[in-house]
Amino acid sequence: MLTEVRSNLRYILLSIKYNVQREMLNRASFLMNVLLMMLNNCSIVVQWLVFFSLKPDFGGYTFEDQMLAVALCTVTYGMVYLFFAGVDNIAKYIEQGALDKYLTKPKSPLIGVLTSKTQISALGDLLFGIIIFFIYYHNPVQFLLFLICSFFSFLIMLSFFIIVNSITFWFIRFSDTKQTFTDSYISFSLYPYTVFGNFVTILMHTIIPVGFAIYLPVTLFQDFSITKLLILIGFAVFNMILAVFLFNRGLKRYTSSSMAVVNV
Amino acid sequence: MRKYLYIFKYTFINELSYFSKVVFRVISYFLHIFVFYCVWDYVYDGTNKIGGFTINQMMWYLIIAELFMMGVSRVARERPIEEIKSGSIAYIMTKPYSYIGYIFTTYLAEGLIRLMIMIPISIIFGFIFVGPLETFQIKYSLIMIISFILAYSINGLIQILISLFAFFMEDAGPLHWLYNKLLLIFGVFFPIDMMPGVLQSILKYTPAYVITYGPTKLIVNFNLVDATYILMAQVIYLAIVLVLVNLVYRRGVKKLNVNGG
Repeated sequence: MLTEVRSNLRYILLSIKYNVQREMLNRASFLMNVLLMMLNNCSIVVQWLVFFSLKPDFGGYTFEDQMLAVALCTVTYGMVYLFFAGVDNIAKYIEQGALDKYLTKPKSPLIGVLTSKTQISALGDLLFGIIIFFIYYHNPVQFLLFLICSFFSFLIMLSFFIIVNSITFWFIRFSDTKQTFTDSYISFSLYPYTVFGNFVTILMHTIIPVGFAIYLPVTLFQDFSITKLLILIGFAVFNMILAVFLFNRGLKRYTSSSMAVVNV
Repeated sequence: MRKYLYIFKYTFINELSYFSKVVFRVISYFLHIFVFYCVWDYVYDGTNKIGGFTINQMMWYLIIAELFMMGVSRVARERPIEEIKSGSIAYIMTKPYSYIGYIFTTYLAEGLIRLMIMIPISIIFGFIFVGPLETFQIKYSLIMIISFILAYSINGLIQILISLFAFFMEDAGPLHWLYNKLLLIFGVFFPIDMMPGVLQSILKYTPAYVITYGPTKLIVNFNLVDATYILMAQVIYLAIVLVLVNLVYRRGVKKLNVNGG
């Protein structure tokens, strides 16, 4: 069991390393993607500067709280798309019957698809989130908490994206619908839950788990409690197990289109 | 001219066949509007006007400006970059029409079908969220439509211009992110009137003024002085961008290096 975990971890790390190395072949393009993405994200800060100049408090959310939410969102997005950008292709591959090349490998097909691609601009998101965090929070303990929250928020985001993509195994042509789910996840995570009504808040803690991935970590910074931290960890682990289970269960329904392209 | 009409017709029919994508674009549009409705409703709580806009005007402003962003075709920002990178532009250059004209016509046709569906939906959304636009002046509709068409054309040409930088750099895509964010922050999320004074005068020279802010402001709160300024600025912008697009294209084509196969 432990050997298998270590072997899979090594496979993931090697895939990520080669993906990033491939993207870095063109240094100018690499730097431009990263730097311009960071500049692009500055617009989120401008947006909130304007909003907070109009209203100093958003239902208990200060500007620092909102920047923490932005940092968490960009860091987790950056981690998902820098390491596992292939998650976006799952639905497309299922629809096209093009998963064959991952089924022929000795490793898990899910890991194969997830690590098949990297989005280098996501490094810009990741760095931007870390910089934003350090601008507003300077305490090392807070940074440790940020690292823990970021990791589990990343697990929640990744597992949510795997789940919505895997639904394509049961519902044909779900790839457009899954885009709506992933867009909603990003949209809602960049705004404080206090501006939404009860219905949306419930939605964000059930169907679209932004409540656990972003809102809960922010409340941990506002008022730390070990129970909340355990809820975050428990939810992230449960969601990841569910995602892997759904993908593997769905794989039994998969029909190939005979597009057998084997990458050696 | 007939060849461009054929391109227009072909693209229009092609776009119609992807109707399911339009449905999901509508859902995304609704979500954006919903999120912003919640935020603005919170901001306006206890306030009647912000930056000269009531909540009714602000929401209609947002719905119309966002309609522009959602309804705009992606062809001008994606296809030239792909075709320059892959070298397939060489194939289109041998055709008896201008490459810029071809991309621009496709952009207009795709936009027309999207807007035909999105405009009625945006009106329904407006009525659902805040009721009818209280300050709409129907007698100036023609000026509003002209301004909207000019804005749509300027946007297409600027997107082509940015895409043409792919002739000189490996990936011009990130430049589009910045351009889009400029339009979103200073033209969609917040009307220029809500910005600090110094920033307002700078923003009046940016594309956000002639593309999103200008035409939307005319629909939400029309006055003749603003209309004159906005239309003049749009015509000047259109002329400058047209010259720049042709200039960059001619320079870029000279740098084009395609391996035969």
